[in-house]
Amino acid sequence: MAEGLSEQERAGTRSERSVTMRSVVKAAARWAVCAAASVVIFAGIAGARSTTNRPASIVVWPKIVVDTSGALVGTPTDTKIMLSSTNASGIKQAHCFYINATGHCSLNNALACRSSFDCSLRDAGECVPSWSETDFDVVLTQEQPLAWYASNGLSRGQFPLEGPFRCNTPFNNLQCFTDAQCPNNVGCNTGQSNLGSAIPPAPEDPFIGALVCIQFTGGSQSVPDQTATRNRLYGDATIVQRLVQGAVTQADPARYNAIGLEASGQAVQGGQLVLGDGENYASCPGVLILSHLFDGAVDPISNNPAVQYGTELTLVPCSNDFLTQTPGRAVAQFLVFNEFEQRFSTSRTVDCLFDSVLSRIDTRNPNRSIFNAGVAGSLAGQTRIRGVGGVPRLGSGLLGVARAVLGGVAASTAAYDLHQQGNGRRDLIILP
Amino acid sequence: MRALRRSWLLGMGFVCILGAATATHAQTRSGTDRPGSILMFPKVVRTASRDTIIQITNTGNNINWVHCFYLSAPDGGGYCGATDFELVLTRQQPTQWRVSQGRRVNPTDPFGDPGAGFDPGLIPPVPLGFQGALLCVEVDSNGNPFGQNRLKGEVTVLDDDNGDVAKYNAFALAARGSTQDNPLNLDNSEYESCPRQLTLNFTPRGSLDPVIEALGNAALNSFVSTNLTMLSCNLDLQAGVRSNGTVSFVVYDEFESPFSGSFPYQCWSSIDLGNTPQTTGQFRSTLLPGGAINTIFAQARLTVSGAGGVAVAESAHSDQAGVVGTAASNLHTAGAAVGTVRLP
Repeated sequence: MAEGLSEQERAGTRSERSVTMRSVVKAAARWAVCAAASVVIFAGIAGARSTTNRPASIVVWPKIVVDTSGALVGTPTDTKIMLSSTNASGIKQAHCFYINATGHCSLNNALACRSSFDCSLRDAGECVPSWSETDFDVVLTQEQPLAWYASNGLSRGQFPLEGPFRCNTPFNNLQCFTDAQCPNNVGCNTGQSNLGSAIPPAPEDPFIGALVCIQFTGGSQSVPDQTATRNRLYGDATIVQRLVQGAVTQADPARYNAIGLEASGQAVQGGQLVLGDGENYASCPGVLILSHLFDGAVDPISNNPAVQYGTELTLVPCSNDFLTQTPGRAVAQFLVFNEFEQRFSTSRTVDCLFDSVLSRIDTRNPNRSIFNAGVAGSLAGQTRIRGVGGVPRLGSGLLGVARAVLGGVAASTAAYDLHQQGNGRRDLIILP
Repeated sequence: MRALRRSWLLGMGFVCILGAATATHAQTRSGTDRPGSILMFPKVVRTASRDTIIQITNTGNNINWVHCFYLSAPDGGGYCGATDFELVLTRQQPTQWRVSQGRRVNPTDPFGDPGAGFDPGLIPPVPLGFQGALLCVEVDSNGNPFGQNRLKGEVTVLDDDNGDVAKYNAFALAARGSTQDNPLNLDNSEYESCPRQLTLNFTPRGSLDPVIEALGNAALNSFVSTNLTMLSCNLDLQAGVRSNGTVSFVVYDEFESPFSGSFPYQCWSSIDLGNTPQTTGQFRSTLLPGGAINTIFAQARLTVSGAGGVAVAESAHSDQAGVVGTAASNLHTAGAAVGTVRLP
């Protein structure tokens, strides 16, 4: 048909096509800009899925401390761990891993440490990090809350619902078939029970580490739970330390919610739990956000130099290879903002577990730290933490918890969960 | 060609809208671990010995205008008084203040001083004896609701007498659409909905604290109690904040035994669990008269009627000398309730 057109008409058609193409390109560009903008706008709030407010299938307690003598953390400390099932009918099994990240001094293996600073105080060389895991099963009956102290665990005979055909606590050493056979009307357990559970004490004292529990289906075909009743576990931890203030001794509790990663319903293949968008479990957050008061800031009310603010930060990698005993590893990049909108940054390797006061992250001299109030110049700060690098195949996602400290030698503490933001990432937990 | 262009535009538009919609739906659910557009701090106190530090942070790279309201405990008529103030946070700016002092605008605050930093605005102090909540909403420069979902907050309640501190995260509700207006509909369309259910792990009132006992400070006289503070999601700040409803609950002890009951709530409510007529049996240890919980740990499932609500728990652990250590914690949440916040 074009052959029938005059040269002028062809030129006109070409011109029209050219204009049309330009319009299409312009329109496409506009839409692309719109799409990019929507991605940019919503990227920050989409993706992150881990939760500290809802039941989930993987529950992570980033910080468990046992130090009954106070040799490591300065004051006698224990951690009460609470794990509950929200399943309305039927038992749920949790397969749990204590991750022992207690280091030991190179010149004295009996001394536990978190960093070389702990060893240098006692002329014991450098802190040699270690990583080992201890796994165990917990069977929870429907709607059951269960709690234990990490220093003691729970052994057979200490679970509330021993059985079946055992009297309830404290007479669970007695066999029964009817309630009448049990003293003090405690009842005979003929239904669901905690049978199959055994929670060991923390593997050493002092101990610092983490706990990870994964919901399994229970029964003979016990596999990571991706059934319709997945995401039924939640937990929290209360770190209790003995606080001495003059002649007064008191217990100082600091409580935080465990972090949950929800299951998607996709069956786990080969014992490899993939955490990511569209994978077996929800992804770990792209960025962790910590709001804090800068270390060393003097309390403005008492104006007592001994009463200072401080913050401890604990980070653990999302990934772990429990099969080959390879801990997750990532480099945590810290971006710090003060109230003047000024920005500082630093980074540290998170190898298995990172636990430090903020002002020792970037230096051994806290007074020169970017987390020190004297350096930052204001009281409040925001620190954005991003995990990068990581072990090949595993990922670089991070989870964490913070503990605010107020005071000098005898410091009262309060734990709180970190906020999260940013796109999901891909991490991997490999079961033994 | 026009058809081609139209299909291009439609296709790209669809991709764009789908992307935004997917992102919106995949985004945050209300909670205490993500930034949002509405911040709810259920517990703010100022007594002779206790004070509260508020921290609010803009996690975005744009300037953020924030309209905040102190809500006081309800009066005899059930009304919660409201005092409002405005903040302006620059990109990524954190800010803090003690509620007993507020924060003045003073550009000459010396470096390192508690008031140092870009002053976010004039923040009034609360009076002695204040008990209540704080609510903050992202707005634009004209004061109209504008959701950027970049606000996060924390509260530290501290005892100036013994140095005890308790800390919790503010509850954040994210804006879901691109436009917001007054009133703020917490309906999962304009903003995320409020939780219908709250779940709490707790130690029944009157239980012994094994750690305090082990410290040798108690001789079987240690005492654990839990206070629940709740803020309703139905807040009319224009006509006066007055809302009420009922919280029904089921408590499970470690034997899986259920105990149920209910108690009323108002716009702001504070309840010592196990120490009120409605909660005596269900939240109290058998070590105390009237207590029904025979284990030292239990789980409570609270269902909030009406517009739902958010809450924070604070457990107090005391020894025989009456020395108290406290820990605050955010509750777990489930379900959705439609609430409304009407700004003045």
